[in-house]
Amino acid sequence: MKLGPAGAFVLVVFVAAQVVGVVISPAEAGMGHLQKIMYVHVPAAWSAFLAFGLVFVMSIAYLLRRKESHDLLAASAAEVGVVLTGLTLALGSIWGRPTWGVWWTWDPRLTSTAVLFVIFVGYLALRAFVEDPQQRARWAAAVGVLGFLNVPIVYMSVRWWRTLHQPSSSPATVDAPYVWGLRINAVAFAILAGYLIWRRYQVARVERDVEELEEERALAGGSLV
Amino acid sequence: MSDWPWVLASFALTWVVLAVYAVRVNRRLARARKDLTAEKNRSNDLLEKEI
Repeated sequence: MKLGPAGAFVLVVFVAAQVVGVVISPAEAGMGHLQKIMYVHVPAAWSAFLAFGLVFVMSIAYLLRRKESHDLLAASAAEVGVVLTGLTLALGSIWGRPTWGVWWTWDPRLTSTAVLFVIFVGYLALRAFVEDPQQRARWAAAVGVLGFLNVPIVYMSVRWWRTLHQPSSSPATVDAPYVWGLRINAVAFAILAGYLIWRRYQVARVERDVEELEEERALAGGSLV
Repeated sequence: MSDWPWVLASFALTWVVLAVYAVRVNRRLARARKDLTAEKNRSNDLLEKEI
């Protein structure tokens, strides 16, 4: 597999950020080295939110303008968002076991994140089962808009309910020695998510072009195979 | 127990998941581009036959 300049740039930024997280950042006084999991868990969650935010914006744009590119971009962002949310849940589980003593608990933050994951897995399943492209795009846009409404609930869950999960980690709530590691990894994950969405969009675009050519050929009397 | 196995498991899982996904997307893109080229060739052949 060839890695183009954009891919190489993303890889370098990501590796550098991860080195800061694993090697350079200090251990935390209370949690020790376990706190380093923050450098992957939190940026993965934020990037997933960004991806679902893009689904929301593109879904509204599709419903208003009916442009296929908006639908394909929403679908691409949803897929990347699902991967990142699944990763967030898995990483949270690994972090939870040594700190809380359990792999999983029905805490509002965890539960609302799991619901977000299921909603967007449903979004992808819906796209896979509906054959008519316009109907698929309309229904998916509706689910994309409604599904995104869960993102603020996930974010606010640690404030609205008394939860086992700690308050949201951000440069405002994290002590100075850990802020840069968090910032750098947040940027690296956001760039990586953007790159993956862009590549996934290219896949969708080219596959759609192939479908259109096949349809044209079928209408012109050629074989579909 | 040491913290490191949990830390390394977390980072390793992140790298594996993201790398596998990126490779899958890039391979799918390469396959789709190949299909597009083949489809364009077929369409051109059909057009030439008609002419």
